[in-house]
Parts: sequence; C-alpha cells; structure tokens
Amino acid sequence: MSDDRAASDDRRPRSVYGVGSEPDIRFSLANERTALAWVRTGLALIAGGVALSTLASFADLPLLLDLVSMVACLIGAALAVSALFSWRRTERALRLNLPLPAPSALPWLVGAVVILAIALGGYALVDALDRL
Amino acid sequence: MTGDPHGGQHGSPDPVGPAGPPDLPGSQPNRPRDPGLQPERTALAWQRSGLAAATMGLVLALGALRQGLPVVAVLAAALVLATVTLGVRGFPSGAGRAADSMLAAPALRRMVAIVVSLAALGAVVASTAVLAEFS
Repeated sequence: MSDDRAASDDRRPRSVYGVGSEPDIRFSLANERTALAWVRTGLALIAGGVALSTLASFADLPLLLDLVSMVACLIGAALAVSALFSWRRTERALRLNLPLPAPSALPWLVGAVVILAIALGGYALVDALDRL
Repeated sequence: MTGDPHGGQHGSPDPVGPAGPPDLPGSQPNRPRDPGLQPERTALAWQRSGLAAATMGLVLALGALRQGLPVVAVLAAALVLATVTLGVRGFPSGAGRAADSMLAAPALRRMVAIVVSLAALGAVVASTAVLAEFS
C-alpha cells in the first residue's frame, strides 16, 4: 500500500513530499493547524494596523499612528510568509523523523508586539499630556 | 501537550478508535475515524482563517473607500472574492481526509499570498496617509 502511494505521489513541493516516509496524518494535520494559527496571528496584526490607520484619519497625532499601522501591516505579512516556511520545515522534519525545528518566529513576534505596544503607549501619553 | 512527538505513536500507522461509518460523504473507505477529530478541527481552522481574511478584506475595502482610495478598495474587494473562491473550492476538508489527497501546500500558499496582499494594501493606505501629512 505504501509503495502504491509512493508511486502515485505527485504532491508539491517535492522538497517536502519527496523525502522520508508518510508520517501519522494527525501530526501533519496539527502542523497545518499551527501554520494557520500563525497566518491568523499575522492577520490580527494587519487588522490592528488597518484599524489604527482608520483611527488616524481623525486623530490628533496621525503621523505616529500611521507609522505604527504600517509597521504592523508589514510584520503581519512577514508572519504569514514565515508560517509557510516553518510549515515546510516542520513537515520535512516529520517525514524524516527528525526533531522538530524551534518556533523561530515567536521571539520576533514578541519583540514586535512589545515595540508596537511601547509606541502606542507613548502615543497615549503624549495625547494625554496634550489635553492637560 | 507533553512529551516527544517522536515517541511511541509517531510514524506508526495506528488504527485509532472504532471505524467510522464506511459511506460518509467525503470519507475514505477502510480508514479508521480519529476520535480526536483532527481532520474536522483542521477544516475548522481553515474556515476561520478564510473568514478572518475575508472580513479583513471587507474592512480594508471600506476603510480605503472612506479615505478616498478607490483603487485600493477595489483590490481589497477582489481579495475577498479570491478568499471566498479559495474557501469554496480549495480548502482541504473532509472527515476522512487522507494523506494522499492533501491539498495543504497549495492552499496554504494561496492563503499566505492573500494575507500578504492584504498587508500590502493596508501598508499602502497607511503610507498614503503619511505622505499626505508631509504635503
């Protein structure tokens, strides 16, 4: 049965499906859900960015908000792309029975969220001082 | 979850749980049903990712219209359509989803392309506002 499957296996990319053996499908499915969760994390950052740029159109200090919004959108895109690559790496590792790669996007995500939070906190502070 | 994913169960084609009804639509014959409902959970993950992307596109389209960027709005609306098309036709799904019918890689690539395009449009909206600040 596995010979049968290997013979008719034309799944892409070959760099993933051309190596190793078929893993337990539950591991593949879990890998897929993890990638999708990363995609949604990226989408959440983009959503925050779009919401901020809408807010900026009637805020007092629109420049900072627009800059933060732009950065959030770009980080969201980078996260989605990194989800694709880490899905590939993990699927390869599963097929080759190797240890799973570390979630390398996680420290970047945390760093980016902290920086965005500091920027927005600074904005709130400046805005509050402005109103005094 | 605890433990090494490469421990005992990994790689073994373990029959888990009782076999499901053999003639469920979309299910593979002779394939045991996963009591952890992993295929179903994966299909739901696809659906909520698609829903999030489509909603994002709609919000972006409305926001771009509001800021006087009709081209961006049309592009965002096109992305909503693309997401819906991908959702209707391309999402991997099915309770008995077999490894050899997996569409994960192409569907994931299209999903990422949609999200990156949404991000690009969002960045265009923001940078247009920044440029307007300076002019």
